[in-house]
This record gives sequence, structure tokens and C-alpha cells, in this order.
Amino acid sequence: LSPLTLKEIYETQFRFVWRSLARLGVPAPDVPDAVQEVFLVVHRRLVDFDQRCKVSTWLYRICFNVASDRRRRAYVRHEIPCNTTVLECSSVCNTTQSDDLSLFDSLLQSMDLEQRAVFVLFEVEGHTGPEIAEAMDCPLPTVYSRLRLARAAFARAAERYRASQAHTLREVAV
Amino acid sequence: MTEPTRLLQSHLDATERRAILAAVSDEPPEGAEAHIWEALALALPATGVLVGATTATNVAHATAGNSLATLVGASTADVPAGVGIAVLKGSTGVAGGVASAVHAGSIATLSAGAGAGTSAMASSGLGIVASKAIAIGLGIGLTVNAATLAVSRQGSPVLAPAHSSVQVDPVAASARVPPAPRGHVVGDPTREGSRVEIARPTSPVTAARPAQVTATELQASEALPRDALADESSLITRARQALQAGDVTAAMARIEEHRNRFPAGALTQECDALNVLVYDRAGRTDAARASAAEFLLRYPSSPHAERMRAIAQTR
Repeated sequence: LSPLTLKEIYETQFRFVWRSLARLGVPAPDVPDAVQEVFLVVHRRLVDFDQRCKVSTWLYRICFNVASDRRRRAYVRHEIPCNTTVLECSSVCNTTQSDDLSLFDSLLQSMDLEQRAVFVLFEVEGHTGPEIAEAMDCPLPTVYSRLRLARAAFARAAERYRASQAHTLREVAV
Repeated sequence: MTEPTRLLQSHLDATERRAILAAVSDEPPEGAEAHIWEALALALPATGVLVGATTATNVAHATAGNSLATLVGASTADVPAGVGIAVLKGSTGVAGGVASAVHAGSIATLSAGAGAGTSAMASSGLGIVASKAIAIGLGIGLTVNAATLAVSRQGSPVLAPAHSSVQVDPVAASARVPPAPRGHVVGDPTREGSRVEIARPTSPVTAARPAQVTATELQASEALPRDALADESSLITRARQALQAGDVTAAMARIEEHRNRFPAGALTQECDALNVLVYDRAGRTDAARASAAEFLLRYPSSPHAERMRAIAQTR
């Protein structure tokens, strides 16, 4: 196997990294920063990457660490997103998520970060259980158990959402 | 252990299906990929991933968030090898950041330090403001409290840390900014690949507030591409000396040379001001007036503004 370059990985995995970070709860305006952070780590660790697992699996582990790191930092420092704005740019940041995507993200909030990761990798990205076990560095049964919990949380959250919608609709009707 | 069936392939309520499908088809916004790659390239100067870093520019930034002021000395025209990055510790803490901003603001009226300002244009004063901050893509006023390059009459440059300041006005900044890199480096200077802050939408409040950097505290001398800067300032000095000697042609030639060699040089403002004076001296009144007016548009708060205004208003 020929060694991968940063550029190759960036070109093939940018979308995956972007989406993974967004689904791991990185606030939309911070996603570009986080993407960059991920690829800086990739750059540093590229020499050690032996390609025994899929690139995306390896990358997801980095994404997970970056996302959970940011989450911890934001909690500790009570960071307000977008507070450190220095430069102006409209193209990257003015993303308007579709309602469905916002719904998906809000449903994900019913899960802890590990469950969320397993759920997204399995249901959205189509990774297999063993791949996820590798990405999350945990045994396969743990993956399946997290998936089960995540699905239950997802279903409950969707149920709550439907109930609230029905409630709103009734109020409107009256 | 058997793999469960994916939710999308099983019976699923419409709400859940819609939500999952939205995630499956989620795409990054257009331009994000290229944009972040540029920022990455800026953050990884020592590697081969650099793209488009050939434009000459010195960049200084203060970040409000972590109060890490950074100063990036990018390659000047004759130092094409890449971007030298020095990350310099600013004052720590939010309060410190504010304090330094206020400090920079209070001395922003210029003409401070070793002969910067109008006196630099006068016959004897040869102090040249050395460090000029260019806000990449900022489009807002930027005040830099920079080191002063004191140039002796003989032209041997001495880097002297002194409190002088340079104001880069918005027009000038945006005019001189290379289009590619939009971001600034923050993080651990000792570690290769510090993060480059990606542009974000600015709130009206932050956009209106000039970014301020105190560079002396940042040991600006280490961050500046000294040799290029010395070359640039000696070129300006020679142009000035030619003008003083009344050799308009030679002065013009030096100015031309400066524009070719340092299209985004740290002393472009000095060069532009000199150009006006050369036109004036040569008796090309119309050209002098026009270029003085242009200068004022570009650098409304320049230390040379008063003199330029006088020329622009001549009848």
C-alpha cells in the first residue's frame, strides 16, 4: 500500500469528516474550525497510520475525539459559539439546515456521545458493526448494545416530537 | 453475532425516515472544502501542502477569544520559500486582551516612536515604520502597535523595538490582501500545524470594531522577515534620498522597483506617499493631486494624510 497524502485523504474524506462532526454535536458555525482541527491531527499522525483499518474508521476516531474535546471545553469555559469571530465569510458559515436535518440533530440529542456515534455510523454512514468497534475502540458487543440503546432513545425522542407536533396542530385548529 | 438491519431498510415511521434521510444527504456548503483547505495550508507552513502562499504579506491578528495575538510573516516577493509563522504570546486572559486593545487604541494616533509619521517624510527624518499589519479579508480597521525599524542615514537598518503604531485602513487592507488565505493562526507555536481560525459570519458589532494587535509585546522582530524588510526599507530610503537630491527620475525608478518587488510590501503606504511627493516635485500637478486623493481614500488615517490633503487640494 502506498502511503496516503494529506491531500488525498482530504479530498476523499472531507464530506465524511464534515458530516461526522456536525452529527457529533459540533455547532454549525464551529464545524469548519473542527474540520481543520481534525485534519491537523491527521497531518501529525499520518506517519503512524498503517492502513490496517479503513481510512474513514481511523478518521472517525479523530473526529470523535475532537468533538468530545470541544464539548468538554465548551462546558468548562461556557464558550459562546461564534464569540471569537474575527474574519468575515458568508459562503462557509451561513448554512441553513433543512428542517429534517435539524430534526435529526435534535433527536440525536437524546443520546450520549458514544451512542450517537454508533447510531450515525451505522444508520447514516452504513458502517458495519466491526468497523464501528474499530473506530470506537471497543468490543463488538458494546457496539451492538450502544446501537440498541441509541435506537430506543431515537424512537422515544421521535415519539415526543410527534406528540408535540400533534399538540401544536390541535392548538392551531382551535 | 449478526448484524442488525438498518433502520432505513426496515419499517420506519415517516418522521424518523425523513430525519435519517436528511442526514444521509447532508452536504457541506459549497466552497467549504476549498476554504478549509486554504486555512490548513496556512497552518502547515513547513510541509509541502502549501498552496498559493507566494503573495507577499505580513499578517498580524489579535483574537478576542483566547487573546493569543499572532503575527505571521509571510513570504515577501524575494523570499518565495514559504510562510514563516511566529506565534507570539499576547496578554493573557480576556481582561488582558481588552487592556492591550485599549492600549493600542490610545496610541493609534500615530507619529509615535522613532520618527514614524509625517516627520519620516521630512528631509532629515528617516524613521520608517516597519511592521505593517494586513488584515486578511478583514475589511475593517486594524491598529498595530509595531516595532519600528529605525533606518540610519547611511541606510544600515537597525531593528529597534519602539512604540510606534501603524494604522491600516480598511480600503488599504482589503486592496492589498491576497485573495487566498482567509484565516489566522492560533495555537501552540512550538507545535507544527497550529490551528488557523476559520472565517465565520461576523456580527455587526464585531465587524464594526477594529481588531487590534500589540506587536511589541510579541517580539515582532522575530516574526518579521528581516532581510526582506531591510531590503524594502532600503529601497524606500533610496527613493527618498533621490527625491531629496532632486533626482525625480531616480526616485520614480526606485518607486517602480518597490512596486514590482514588493507588491504587497510592508511599506507600500510609504511608497505611495513618496510617489505623490515625486509627482509634486516633478511639477506634475494633476498626477500629484489625483494620486494624493487616491492615497487619502486608501489610507484616511495615515500619518501622511495631512500632507497628502494639502497636495490634493492645491489649485
